[in-house]
Amino acid sequence: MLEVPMFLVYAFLSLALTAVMSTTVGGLIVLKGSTFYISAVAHATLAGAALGILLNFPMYYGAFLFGLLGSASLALATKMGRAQEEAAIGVFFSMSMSLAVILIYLIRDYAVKAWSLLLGDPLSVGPADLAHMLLFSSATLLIFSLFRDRLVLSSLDPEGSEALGVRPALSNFVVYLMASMAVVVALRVIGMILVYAILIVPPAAASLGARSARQFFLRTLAISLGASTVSLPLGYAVNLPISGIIGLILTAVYAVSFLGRGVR
Amino acid sequence: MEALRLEDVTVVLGGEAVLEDISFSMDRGEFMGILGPNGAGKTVLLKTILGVIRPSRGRVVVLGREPQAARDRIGYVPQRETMSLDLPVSGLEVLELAASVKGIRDRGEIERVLEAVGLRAEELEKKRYGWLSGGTQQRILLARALLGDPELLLLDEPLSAVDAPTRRDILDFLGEMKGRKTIIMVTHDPNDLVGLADSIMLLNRRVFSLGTPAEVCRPEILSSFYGSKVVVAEVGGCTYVISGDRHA
Repeated sequence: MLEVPMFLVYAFLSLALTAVMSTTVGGLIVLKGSTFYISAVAHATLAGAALGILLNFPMYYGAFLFGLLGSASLALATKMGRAQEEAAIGVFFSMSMSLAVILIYLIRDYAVKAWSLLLGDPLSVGPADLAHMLLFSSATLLIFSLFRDRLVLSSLDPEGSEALGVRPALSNFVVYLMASMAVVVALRVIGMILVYAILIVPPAAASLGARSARQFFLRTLAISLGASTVSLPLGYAVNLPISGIIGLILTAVYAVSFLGRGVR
Repeated sequence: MEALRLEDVTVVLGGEAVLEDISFSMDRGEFMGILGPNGAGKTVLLKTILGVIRPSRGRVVVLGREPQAARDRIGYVPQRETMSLDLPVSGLEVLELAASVKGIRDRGEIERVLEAVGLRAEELEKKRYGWLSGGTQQRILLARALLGDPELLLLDEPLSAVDAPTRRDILDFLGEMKGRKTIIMVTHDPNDLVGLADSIMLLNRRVFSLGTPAEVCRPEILSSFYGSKVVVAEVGGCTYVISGDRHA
């Protein structure tokens, strides 16, 4: 009987958790039309992760703390209107990346660790990592399942949902808080550079042809899980970075969806 | 019985007064039409009544309560273009999500409001909201506003960007609602209000004129309000605006 090495099992589980994050959080972010935010929060969490490594505590919590601070400030910025929100994301992006560069430089063996933060590697995920990832993804899933309809409605139709009593700033904060946790889950697996690809490209591709929100979320999960399931053995067999292969497969899926869009 | 009362309401946004000293009241079952140029504060007025915007001065009382406390008794139709048409949500889900947020679990309520606006759930289930015709989208937004059987309906240009038959259907529907619900409808065309409105407000940050259609739709008042000559005609006991800057 074929024995699957445990590191491959851990890798697959970490990719599956990331796929769930893509479906829930990535889906909401695409519905909101604030996909740039994922890049901003990824840069923020990078600085937090680097601080965690520097101070010798689990990088997940440093990353989450910085992501949380970013979420709070950007949720406040959304009160000032769309243009100000985008400007605030840009400023936050610059500040957190500058901080990350300095913190990574201060880490002694920074070349290896910085590389792992930037590119990620599901094959290096261990049981301890998986436990941290499970904690953040469970919290995200819990919030999503409790407030799904409110969050979806406020993402789709902020004005209509506000008229129904949904508070836009609070709703934005909750989505951004979930985004921080999703990025923390994905950081170890795929790295900061490709977080956007794994969290945003699947829902972006699914949105092109889906006829309903229900179909959109199911397609996102299928695309994300499918790309991970193909990429893991492929990357392992040909000895190439799995994160890069996932990014390329997702890009291909998006291109096919784009060409097939408009078929009603 | 009183449905709505505004007392000296002033709304300041971004340091600028967009509404000044608005005072009026409406009885239950009354239909009020609001006319005014772009930037007159019509949408701000509706959102103030809805409780989304808080007045800087003055007081709003909806069904004897603060607007926020009465929100479940208010149905609101925003301007249609406020919702992106390029998103993966079905026409039916627009209603299902709103029903869920309102705490309505009874599937029959969605069927009821759809029937009221002449739609069926099966028609909307597998079609994106953005792929539906403008008229169907508008009916969905009307149906959404009717969820939970609200007492007060606030309609922000519900007849914009719909074709003539749909316009007629929506006006007929509003005619059926008249007297059963308290309705405020913002429109650019005074003729939309013929036979519907019990009162008409001409609004341009302040109340320029408020009264019955016969009192307000007089050439000298409309001409003065729009700043160009307006001619009206009496047809079958109703006053129609037949020329002038109706879309000021």
